[in-house]
Amino acid sequence: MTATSPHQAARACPEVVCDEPAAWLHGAAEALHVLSRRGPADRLRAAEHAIDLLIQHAAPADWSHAGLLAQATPSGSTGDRVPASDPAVLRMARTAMSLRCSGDPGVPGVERIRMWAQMADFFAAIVPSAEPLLRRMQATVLYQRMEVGEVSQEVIDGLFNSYKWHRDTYGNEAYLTSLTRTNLAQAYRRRATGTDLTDAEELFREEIETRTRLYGSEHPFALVARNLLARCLLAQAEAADDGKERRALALQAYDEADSVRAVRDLIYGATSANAVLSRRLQAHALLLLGDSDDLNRARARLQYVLAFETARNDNSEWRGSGQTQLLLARVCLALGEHSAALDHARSAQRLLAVDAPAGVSCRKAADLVRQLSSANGPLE
Amino acid sequence: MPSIAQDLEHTNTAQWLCAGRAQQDEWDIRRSCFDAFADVLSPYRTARPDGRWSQSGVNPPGLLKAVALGAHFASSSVFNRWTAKQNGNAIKRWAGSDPRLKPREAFVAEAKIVSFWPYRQGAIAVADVFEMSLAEIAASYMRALGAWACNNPVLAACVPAGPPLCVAEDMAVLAHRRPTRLPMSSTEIAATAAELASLPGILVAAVLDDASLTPLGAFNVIREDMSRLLSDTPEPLAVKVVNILSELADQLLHCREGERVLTRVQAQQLSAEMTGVSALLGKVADQ
Repeated sequence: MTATSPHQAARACPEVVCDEPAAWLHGAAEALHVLSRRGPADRLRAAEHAIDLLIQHAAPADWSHAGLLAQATPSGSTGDRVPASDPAVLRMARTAMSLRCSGDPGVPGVERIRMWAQMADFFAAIVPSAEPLLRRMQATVLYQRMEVGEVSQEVIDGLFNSYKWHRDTYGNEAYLTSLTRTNLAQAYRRRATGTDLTDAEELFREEIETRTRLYGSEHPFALVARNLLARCLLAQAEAADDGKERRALALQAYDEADSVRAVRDLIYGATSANAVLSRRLQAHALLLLGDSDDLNRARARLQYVLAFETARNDNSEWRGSGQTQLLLARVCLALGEHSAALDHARSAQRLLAVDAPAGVSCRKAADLVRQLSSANGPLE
Repeated sequence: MPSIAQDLEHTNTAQWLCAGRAQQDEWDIRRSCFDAFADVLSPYRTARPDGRWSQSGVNPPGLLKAVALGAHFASSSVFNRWTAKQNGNAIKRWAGSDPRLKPREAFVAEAKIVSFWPYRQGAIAVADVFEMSLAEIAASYMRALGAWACNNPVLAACVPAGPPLCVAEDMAVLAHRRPTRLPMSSTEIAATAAELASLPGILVAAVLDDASLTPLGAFNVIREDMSRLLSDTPEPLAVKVVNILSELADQLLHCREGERVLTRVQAQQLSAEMTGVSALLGKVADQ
């Protein structure tokens, strides 16, 4: 694919020669990132375009060392190039990586971590350690590790340091401080040992308070924090030994997710990714509430979620549906529908293994498959 | 019909830049002045009141004199380039001949435009390659503006603080392309353009208020308003149908065990009717 460039733009209007290619790359990177809301094929095409722009306009570098290409980079055109250490190049590279990882369903979680880490190392060797975009790349590596279920002390410490650096640099209420604080809270929620869940809840509540004060309770940024709190409450409900406590936490989570869903339905539409995610959290809460009526409602919601997750992924099975399948398996099991539960558990295990084969969810799915297979007879 | 990207390539500012850059020697002088302006602004980078890193308004005294000094030109030479009387100037000032607009303001306006332009062009080039929808182009444009403000906070904060003034005509281009069932009157287009034109100011102000705000974060501040302004006013019948379908879906999803929302025959009838309507809708959607 041939990328449109500042110089091609100049040919369209011979007098307009872009003499600020770094600024041009910034603008192009922002536009390319908008394409991350399109389907996987367009996202991959956008990633290729971003890589082409880097090859053509950044100072010669082997982009395979930055995790962007499998093979050594072919040499680009000569002329004025943007230094590889320029923030515009970091921005474009980050956009390319983000589009590539989200566009290619075949890239497993561990591979994504390797590619992001390679990119962070590539730039760490050529830009100052305090460069904000480098900091964000390094934080992305930690976030990706957390996403596949790796919540070692090293990951937690890294996320804490990232949060602290942003807080000290920009202030406690700054946007990036807010994002990094949320990442740390998510890591606590995922590790879920000792006081992790209450620490996470505290951080999420602090985050909701800050975002609500700065942007309003129904602002998309505040809604994300409220949804994360609902997830944290669900994790607490899962961990609760006492039935009453579990029910109270699940009800709280349901209400929080429901109020977020109502606003998201209005802003983005009922079939949007955000609104669908809120419905999945509601279904999870209904599963934990556990009455047969609740379970039937949970199943209906999860089927709805699964349908829209698939539709959004160009009508193909989406690897991110692993959690939905796992919840469906648990709901079916609770309803006594073992055969359907086994089907969903197998799908969940297969999908979750793509990103995090050693993750908690994948292990749960595998346990469920084992339990249901023995109840249903041998696996075919 | 030209694409939105093509329309954006033919605004008054795009033509002014094309014509200006053709006068290479004179354009180089302007560039020298803008470079000197950047040096004048650099000491004003960031303030940090109350633990938040933000950029307060910037109003350097004797601005044009300082620019002339930095660019090694006579003060009168710089002043004459941006005064309202443009007789004999190879490049007319962008701000036009309105004498109420002082040379300093005309200079700052041009400096912001020239600085923002490559960001805008980068976004438009990608929009063109990927045949972006109106909503996608608007998002790309605003994010590019956010990137400009993030990278040039002092220039953005230079009084009058805010985005480059050329964004208003770009917003008018977007307003013209708003999809509507009935053709919009020029008054309606102007009203939409005016509302749209207020959003870049909000976005830039958000960036200046929080040095850590990313272009995406800045765009999120205005996303909802932009989406509302660029969407068609809903057809009342469509709203009614959506509401009734939502209610039906809700009842079907949430009915209690043993409870029946519809009889089997009713469900079959409805399903057949919806299949027929769906085919009709498909024809409209493909038009």
